[in-house]
Amino acid sequence: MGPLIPQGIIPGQWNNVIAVLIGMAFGFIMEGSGFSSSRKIVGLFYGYDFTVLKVFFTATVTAAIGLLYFSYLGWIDLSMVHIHPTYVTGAIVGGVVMGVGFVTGGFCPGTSFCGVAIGKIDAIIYTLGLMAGIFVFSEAFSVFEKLYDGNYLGEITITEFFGLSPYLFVFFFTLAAIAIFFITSIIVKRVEEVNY
Amino acid sequence: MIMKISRTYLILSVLLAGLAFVLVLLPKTTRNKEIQPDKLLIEINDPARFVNPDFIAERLINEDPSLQLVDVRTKDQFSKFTLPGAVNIPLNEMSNEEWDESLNHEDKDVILFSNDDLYADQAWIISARQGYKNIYVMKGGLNLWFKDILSPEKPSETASKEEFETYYFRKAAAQYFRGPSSIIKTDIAPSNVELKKKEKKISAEGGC
Amino acid sequence: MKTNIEDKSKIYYNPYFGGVVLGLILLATFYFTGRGLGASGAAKSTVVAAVDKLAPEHAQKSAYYSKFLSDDEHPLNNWLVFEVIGMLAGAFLSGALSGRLKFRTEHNPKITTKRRLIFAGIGGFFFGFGSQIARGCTSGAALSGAAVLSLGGFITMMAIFGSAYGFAYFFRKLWI
Repeated sequence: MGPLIPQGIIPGQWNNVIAVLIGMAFGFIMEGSGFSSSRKIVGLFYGYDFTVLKVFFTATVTAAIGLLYFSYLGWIDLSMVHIHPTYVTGAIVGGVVMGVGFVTGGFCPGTSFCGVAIGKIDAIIYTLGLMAGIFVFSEAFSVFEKLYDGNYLGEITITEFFGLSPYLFVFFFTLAAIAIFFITSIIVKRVEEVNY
Repeated sequence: MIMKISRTYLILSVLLAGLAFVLVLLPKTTRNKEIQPDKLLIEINDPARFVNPDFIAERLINEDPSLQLVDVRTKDQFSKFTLPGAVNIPLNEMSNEEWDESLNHEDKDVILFSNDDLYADQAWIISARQGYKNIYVMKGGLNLWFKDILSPEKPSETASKEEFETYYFRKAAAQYFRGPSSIIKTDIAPSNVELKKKEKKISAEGGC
Repeated sequence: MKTNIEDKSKIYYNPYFGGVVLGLILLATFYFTGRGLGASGAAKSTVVAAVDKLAPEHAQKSAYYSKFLSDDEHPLNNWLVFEVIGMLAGAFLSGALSGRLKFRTEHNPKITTKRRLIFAGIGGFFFGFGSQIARGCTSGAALSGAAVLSLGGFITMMAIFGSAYGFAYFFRKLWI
């Protein structure tokens, strides 16, 4: 029963090996889907290329459905799976700041690493900027500490918070994602084409 | 404007939505309440799940409201004699839904007892398996209760101060439980003694 | 219909295919390690390790760095760093197979290279800053968080995309 390493089914020393292998697959598919190109990435904000949305939502839906099936079949113990902790203020403020960075820099950290790997200089500068931003935050941490720790709700899931069934939520999320895909295909046809 | 949606995408969308929909329809068993065997093993080996009669006596005397005694013997045995405030849940009915209310107390301590501690222990395993918390077993059962509380043995001259203190406590407890204010079913002193003897015999034979 | 070498480098996987594969990779990650993917964490570890190397007392005393420093493990010895090493390798391989390996700056022809690089740096700065506040980036918080239906993950995801859409108009000259 998964997750394999926390349950000791695979010895902990394999953790880093698995990390590299998974990372390779991650990087390969990201680069192959076009995430090493900043102009392709920001296409979703200007309506000429929705690759990011398509990949992102398809991946989320696939993984969410997959996790629920695995759990139902007894292949994974969901209580041992790490849930991203919810700090409401941090999530919102951090998200907004990241959004600005996204649309100005044209990358997110994962995609910037892909860009670096193929030699994109803008990705390299972006990554340096990334580290500078982290550095400044760390130095100025005392100023932002309250923001950072604010409104901690625990490692709570949407279904716990709203009292929904996770299966129902994932189903509607899937429908929403499919709807978004169809809408984006309409938008792309109507927006002026951009060659990058 | 008529849209030409690629047929492949249509089929794929239906497939994906279908997968998610099946998840909604699947029957979900609420088997999460049950405890895993290896966790149960840890709890079984924990000595803290046993409490001795002195402990129970003290809490009863203090009229501790967070105490819930459960007699797991048969109805007959229960009606003849039991501890003050105890409810009767016979061992073979332990997993019945109707007792869920009595056993499922997050705020109270549930102490299981029988004549010795074999049946109480079995009852404990059944309760722990079902995920109930705060369940304990009175070590030694009613046999030990009679021996220690109702007719405590005076320690020898060379015994430690603690042993004497325990003895005095038990003597006082004996008076409390046998006195007029006690809620034992038959509270006339003489017949109490007789009853006690009879119970002792039965316990010795029947065992648990 | 031209078929020259130039075009091969523009051929990418069908995004839905990419998404399914990515989703399966994410699922496998959860199945093997109980955690999701991530990216900004590795950048953070690099910064922490660098500061620790160059100014160890400062790092120990700092409220933030000390969270990530432990006595027995080097800050770079964590899962995310190894994952990113793999990412670099995998992306390199994919780029190599598709003929996309080339040192260049990709930018909107209407702006200069210098301008693009300046904004890349600024963007990275903002994103790095924000990723610490939100304790994750699009891969860690948004993607992996949403896959396990984490409330924080969804909030972060909506905040990132909402904010980016909101500010997109002001930076449109950079891209189109």
